[in-house]
Amino acid sequence: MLVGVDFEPGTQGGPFPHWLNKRANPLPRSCPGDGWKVFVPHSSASARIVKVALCILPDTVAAHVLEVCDLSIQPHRAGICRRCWPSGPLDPLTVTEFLQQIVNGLALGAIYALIALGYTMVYGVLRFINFAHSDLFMLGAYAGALIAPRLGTLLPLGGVANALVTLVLAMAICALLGVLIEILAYRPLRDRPRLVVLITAIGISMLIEQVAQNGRLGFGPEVRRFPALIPDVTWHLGGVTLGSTSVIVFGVTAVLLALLTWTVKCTRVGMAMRAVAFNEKAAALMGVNVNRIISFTFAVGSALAAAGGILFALNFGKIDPLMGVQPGLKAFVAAVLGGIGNLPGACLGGIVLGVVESVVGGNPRLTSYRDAVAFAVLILILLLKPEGLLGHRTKEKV
Amino acid sequence: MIHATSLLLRAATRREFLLRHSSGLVCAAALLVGGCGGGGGEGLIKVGEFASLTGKESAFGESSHNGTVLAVDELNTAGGVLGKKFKLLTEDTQSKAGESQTVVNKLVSRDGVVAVLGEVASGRSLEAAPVCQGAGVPMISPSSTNPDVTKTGDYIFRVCFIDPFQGTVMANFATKTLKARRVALFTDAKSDYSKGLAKYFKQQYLKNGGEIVVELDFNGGDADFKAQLTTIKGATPDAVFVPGYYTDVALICIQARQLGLPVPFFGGDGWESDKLIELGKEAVEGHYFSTHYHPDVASAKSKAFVAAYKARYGAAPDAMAALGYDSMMVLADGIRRAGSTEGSKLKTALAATKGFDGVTGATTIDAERNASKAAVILQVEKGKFRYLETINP
Repeated sequence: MLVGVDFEPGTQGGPFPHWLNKRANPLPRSCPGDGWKVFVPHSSASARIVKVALCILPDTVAAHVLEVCDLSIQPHRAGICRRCWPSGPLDPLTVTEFLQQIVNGLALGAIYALIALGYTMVYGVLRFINFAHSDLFMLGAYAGALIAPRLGTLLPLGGVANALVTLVLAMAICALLGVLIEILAYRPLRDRPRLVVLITAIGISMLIEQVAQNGRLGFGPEVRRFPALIPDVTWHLGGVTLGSTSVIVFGVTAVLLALLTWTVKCTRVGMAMRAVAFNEKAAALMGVNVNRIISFTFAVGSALAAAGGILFALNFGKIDPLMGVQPGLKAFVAAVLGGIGNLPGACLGGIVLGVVESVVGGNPRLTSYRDAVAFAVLILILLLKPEGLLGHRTKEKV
Repeated sequence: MIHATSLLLRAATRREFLLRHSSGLVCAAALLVGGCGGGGGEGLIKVGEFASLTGKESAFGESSHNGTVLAVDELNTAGGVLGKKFKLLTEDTQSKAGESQTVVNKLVSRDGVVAVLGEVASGRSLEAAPVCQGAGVPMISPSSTNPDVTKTGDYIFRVCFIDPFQGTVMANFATKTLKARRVALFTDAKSDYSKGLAKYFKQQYLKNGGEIVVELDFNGGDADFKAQLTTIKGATPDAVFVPGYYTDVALICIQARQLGLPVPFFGGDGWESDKLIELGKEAVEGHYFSTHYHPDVASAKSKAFVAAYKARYGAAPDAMAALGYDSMMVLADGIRRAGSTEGSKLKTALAATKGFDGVTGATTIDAERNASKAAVILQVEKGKFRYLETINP
């Protein structure tokens, strides 16, 4: 940053920061000389972008102001001098950019966390991965897209209230679908080897995707825009842009997580769930209705997937019948990363994965490896800490 | 592992399902004109078409298909060519990699078509080209712009300009019209079209003295582009070049708006679809792209085409529709001049196409079997594509 006196074209600016004044060190390598710079005046006037010609004198450097950039016309020029700023860990633009990536990553990670919770809960009680879970995520988003426009005409509520009703209805629909899938597809196979159930889950997933892609039976294969459920407002916090959608994503996720934790930890149903997860037969002997608890688990997991689907669509703007595949796989990675079967682990895994993905995706050298990194994380965690970040090491009894 | 199995299973069942279905349909259709599995009726010229009728680029496939169908009907109404009428056999590629080769194989070996039209996407044309080349069946791509498509061999043609030209046009547009000195590149790493166009753009733009401030990739079909867009925002470009397809472009523009990146975005012909506006709405306003054709650029031929297209489909044609139409017309012209539908003769006649008066302008097939023709630059304005300028080769 150059510290100048005024901004009038044709005038000289000065004094300059120490690195410009050093005699033996005429110009830092990062500053190529003439060009657009930020001038911060001594007076109370705000910083400006000016085009300068640098004159390197025997013992100092002078800048000649050639042109003043009008920020009101070209706001995007505000960072034009970036390469000229003294490089270091506190380069304000790099810090802002990094913080922005964290914000992006948290919004993405929160959604992964919601889906991962469903995987992990089902794994906790039934010890298998419900691959149809990612399709309930998609169905939740479609339910939201179909309900929202109709709701607007039926209920004269405000935008946010409508959005909430849409969310709750979509979650209820998916909870019902999740229970139905469990009763029809998984319950008859409960005593079979787990591989059988796993393959059934893949089959159910394919069935839902194919039907959804069919134009007559389902939604058709094309990408659609997700309706804006809430007004699109953005806030700027010192260079970091925070959209209303990201805030909603954080908020809804936090509320749902709190509700889930409370249910599992403090209610009788939650206690029964933990009992079934610990030992199904013993729980049954103690009078727990195992079928009902498993249905409840599927309902909660599917409702969370639906919420994730709506938040995902809201945050990124589109829905299509295969939208669940990638996030579903990533959430599966998140669940394993956090320790499969472990609820706080699933959240942590989701958040970590979302942030890592955003930081990697935004790096020009690593950008192509964005998806690869997520799965590399899976391989690493399986090799180094198979029980996951928060999981407990268990010994399989033979 | 589990996922890989599921993907394999998925691909296998879908292909089987499709094959069973499509062959059934084709047989049913063929029975009407006499016999299934034979060389076809004596009085008909079978032309194969493969297009992305469903999936991510379905808007392109549909437009192109509509244009081709219109051309076939007009030709048949006028009595066909060499005393025979045309019969169009269409296959869907579902906008997916790996599908084109299967369906074109079927068109060529089972249906015995005399020529193949398709595809819009360069990646999928590249997949199908070796099949046509190997079988000695001429293939005409209506709108694949990647230069490698016709390099497959002397049976592969196209009726549109190629990406080195399009890239040059957009680089000059960035330098001269947008006056952008710093541009960010945002490329679809999954698409041959996007990578090719980015490469040629970069070459010319650097030659013009511009600076590429940052280069980032996305994967076509992604939902989250915010990570890359944040870096692009940090690099403070004057404009962002996104050589992608309309679905991704619309989402990129929406998310750029959410992040507060108020610079112009511009790209190539992959943008041109009403879906871009339908998905992107106000987020795509003011952005620019180059393409092959705009209905407002009037020639007598173009006016007649626009009127016929509107009467039949109730909407104005886009570039893909016009090129789909032209590809069929160029093929018919080739068959007329060759006096035969035999592959080698047809190929020689197509290569000799000169100054053919098409809807998208005069079409001359050059030594590399590409068409050299003008590009137009359009801007999104109030939910419509506004014509800005024409750039000749």
